[in-house]
Amino acid sequence: MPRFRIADEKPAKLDCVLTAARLITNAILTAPLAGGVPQVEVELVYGDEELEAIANKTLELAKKNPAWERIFKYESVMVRESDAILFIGNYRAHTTPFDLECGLCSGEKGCKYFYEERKKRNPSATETPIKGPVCAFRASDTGYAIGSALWLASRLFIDAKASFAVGLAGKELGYLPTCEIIVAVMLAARSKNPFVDIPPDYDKLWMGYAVDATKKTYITARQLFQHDYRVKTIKGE
Amino acid sequence: MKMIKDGEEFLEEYVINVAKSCVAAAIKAPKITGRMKLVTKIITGEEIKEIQKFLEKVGKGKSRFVEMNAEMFKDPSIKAVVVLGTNAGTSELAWNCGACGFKTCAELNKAEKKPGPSGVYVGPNCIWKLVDFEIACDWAAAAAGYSNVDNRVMTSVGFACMALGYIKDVTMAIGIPLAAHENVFWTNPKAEWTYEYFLETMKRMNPGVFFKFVGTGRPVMKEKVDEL
Repeated sequence: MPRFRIADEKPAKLDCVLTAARLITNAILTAPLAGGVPQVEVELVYGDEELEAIANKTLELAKKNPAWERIFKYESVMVRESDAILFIGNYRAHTTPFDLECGLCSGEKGCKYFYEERKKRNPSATETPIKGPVCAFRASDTGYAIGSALWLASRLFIDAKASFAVGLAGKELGYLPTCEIIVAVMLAARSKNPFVDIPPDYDKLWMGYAVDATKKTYITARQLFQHDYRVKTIKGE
Repeated sequence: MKMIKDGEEFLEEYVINVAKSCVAAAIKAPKITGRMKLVTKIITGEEIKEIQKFLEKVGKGKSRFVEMNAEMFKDPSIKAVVVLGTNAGTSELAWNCGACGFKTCAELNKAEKKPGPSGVYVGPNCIWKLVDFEIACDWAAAAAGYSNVDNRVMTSVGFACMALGYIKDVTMAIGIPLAAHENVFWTNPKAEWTYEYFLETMKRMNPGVFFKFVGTGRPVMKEKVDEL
């Protein structure tokens, strides 16, 4: 009979998180959408290398905009502390609008703003990270998918956080290539929810840094008291 | 004092209580930006009929979908409508992500705010605030679902509430009618459509299904479902 010991730092925990992540995927796929039109895509990402790459990309993007800096820095740590990430994207928002003429994007007849602006622009020359405009009605439908994901996560007692920053990092790394609006939902099962109680300068003062600092100083400190431990300790025993 | 009552007598009170829990769920829902200002209303009593009348007036001959919603709203078991709204017209995020179509948030804030052809929803809007708003709506709907109260997230009802002035100073609103009813309520409205009307609508909406052999270059429509 195989035995699995499951605790905060044990690798076997990943199975539990992934089971939850797969159930959450169901919640995303069945979320209410305007007109019931399929438009949401999910990508499940886990593994040390993948999460490391996403965290580094998030940290790299922090420098691009002063308004991003603080958010992107602490969310890069959250990526390092989470066990899996679900990228939720909308592949219709920038291609096929809802054609409701609702007016949310700019309010002109026949969804004119969307079509004209799209025609006018050269997407490859656009400097903004998201190549807008997107259909506001479709984009807000993504919100239903994210809401359902977060709802089920909270019911499964798994900590989750939806993030624009990590979604953008995933977009830059090529996750969900057909989507323009991407949001990341980070999932973590830990004794302490890694998405709350965030101190200032969290990218420097997070636990990984503290652990590493201990490693690098303790080893040196140990060597300061040299003695023949086989004979006696400095306590004189 | 009468100690035994029909269970149904308590439903109105229960549904209104669930509406309150929906509002709590919408407020509690985790948001991405954390800056979306949610406006919440609970509508009960006579005003629900006003919404029904408005939907009937707007939908008639213009939108089959709204027409159907109006027909559904006639049901007396709808005891409360939760209305959620937000003003996402400006953004203080300074993310400059470009999703709204403007290069910077400052440009979005400066842009002229105008209502769409429908005359109620106002644009342009910050996409991320809208996403946050829909997360809140989703939580409200899920909260009702967990209390065994049937609900539906309806744009048309939000639109009606904005037009009737039940919710003010918002650019977008969503209505969630709550009804203690059997499960098929929202998908099987009690409206009495004729089969001819259904077929006519289906041909108008989905003509591709009714095409005959198109190799002649002149698509011909099939008349009966038997020919499909």
